[in-house]
Amino acid sequence: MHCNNMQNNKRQTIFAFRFSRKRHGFSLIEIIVYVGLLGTISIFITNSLIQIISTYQHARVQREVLSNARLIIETITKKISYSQEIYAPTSRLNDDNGQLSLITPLDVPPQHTTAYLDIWTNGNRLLIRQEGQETTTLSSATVQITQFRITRISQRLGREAIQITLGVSSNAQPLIASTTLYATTALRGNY
Amino acid sequence: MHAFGLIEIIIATAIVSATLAGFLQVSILSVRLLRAEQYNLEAVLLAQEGMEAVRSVRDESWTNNIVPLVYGTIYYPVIVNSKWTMSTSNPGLFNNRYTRQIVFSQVFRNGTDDIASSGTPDDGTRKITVTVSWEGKNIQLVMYLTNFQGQLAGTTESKIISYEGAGTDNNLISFPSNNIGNGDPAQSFTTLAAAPKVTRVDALIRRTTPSPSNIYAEIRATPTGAALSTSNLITGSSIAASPATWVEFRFAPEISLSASTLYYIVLRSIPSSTNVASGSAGSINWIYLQTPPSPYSGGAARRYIGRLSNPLDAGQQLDQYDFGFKVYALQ
Repeated sequence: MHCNNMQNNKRQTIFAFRFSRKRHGFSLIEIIVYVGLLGTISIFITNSLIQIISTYQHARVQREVLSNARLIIETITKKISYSQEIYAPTSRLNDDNGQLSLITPLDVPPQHTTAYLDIWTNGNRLLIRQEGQETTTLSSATVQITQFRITRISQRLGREAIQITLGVSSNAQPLIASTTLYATTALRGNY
Repeated sequence: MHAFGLIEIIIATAIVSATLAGFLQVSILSVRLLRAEQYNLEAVLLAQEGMEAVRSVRDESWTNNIVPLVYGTIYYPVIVNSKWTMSTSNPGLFNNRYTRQIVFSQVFRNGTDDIASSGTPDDGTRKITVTVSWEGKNIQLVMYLTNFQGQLAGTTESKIISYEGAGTDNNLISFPSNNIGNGDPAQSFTTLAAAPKVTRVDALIRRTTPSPSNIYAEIRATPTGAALSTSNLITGSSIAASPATWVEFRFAPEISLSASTLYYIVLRSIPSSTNVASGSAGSINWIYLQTPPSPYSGGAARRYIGRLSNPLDAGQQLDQYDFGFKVYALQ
């Protein structure tokens, strides 16, 4: 590798510039410097990559929580505003694991004028089922419902509203993203 | 060969770090934007809820709820006794971040009856501005509220039976009892000659602890009998602490009662005050009066119904006592 031929001196000027002519120990220092540099650089690059990936994951988790929460609150408030009344016997009110039962004139089974609609949480997912239809999951598997609290507001005769407190948080540990949304909707099916 | 290595590595490192830093900046920015979007969504929903609260308050009564509000004053919508109300005192932050304020302003109409910045004041319309602010940012929703229901004739209810002379504020009933199963209180009343369709019962109560159990009312034919109907649930902490207020218990659909018959208004709690160690927490004072022979002749107060997990325990009748109550029926 190291050419010591003095007759090729001219060719080596450039090296002579940088390194002393006496090159004993050079290889060792070179290797140490290279290995050191390589190590530092690879540590830096790996670190940055890990950081980038975790930030992207954080963003993804946050986006999932947000879009789930938005979809759920929009769906529920629409369902409530079309409903005629709350069906109290099967509703679980004022509880963080709530269940909301509504009597709605929309999408009723044949020969019925109204249908029952249930929205509930099993402590993890939010589910919805309308009479005569399949149970549907409103929340995705990547998030969990931490709070689904229903408060009934009775403003006066025939003027009922429902306040919903919805807590959605990410499933992916330890990436925490969570949101708490409040919404009040009047039952306008009887407006 | 050797020099190539060093310079190359330095340049390559610089390029790679610049690229990585770029990527990192982009992802950090996206996280920040998403957070801003989340705050925005939370705030917009709070503002929409504020609007719904204003509409609810309007639906209850334009004359009693909207007309007395002062233009330009900051109001905070809060739930009291299961109803939205406009309060002048700040209830504190939502999610430890947001403040929600509502301002009512006067509306003027011009010659063609359109809303204008000046002209004839319109008493049947208000401009509502809901502001939700957090960390130096805020969002605002504006709406015009009209008294359109003043033009409509809806179903109405009216008070048919009541005892409103109660004024003694004591813990007579130990309700909801603190885990000791002291049972439920009741007030009996006699219906008039016409059979009523009862829509609502009011009780004059106040909470004496910050967060008593949630309560509801039942109408029964006998003290320990089955409930003919169950009212909505009133959040314990939303009951006014002082002074005592008339809290509405609504029955939907209405209950058809017989004429000239004795019925019982039973207050109940969740968890139940009748069971030992149910988790019930107290307490609530039901304002009463004691005079011989009885302040309200059509019925009497009763306490300790179903105490110690015994559903057959009719409790103790208090002949000389009556609780403040009102019964409303459809007209």
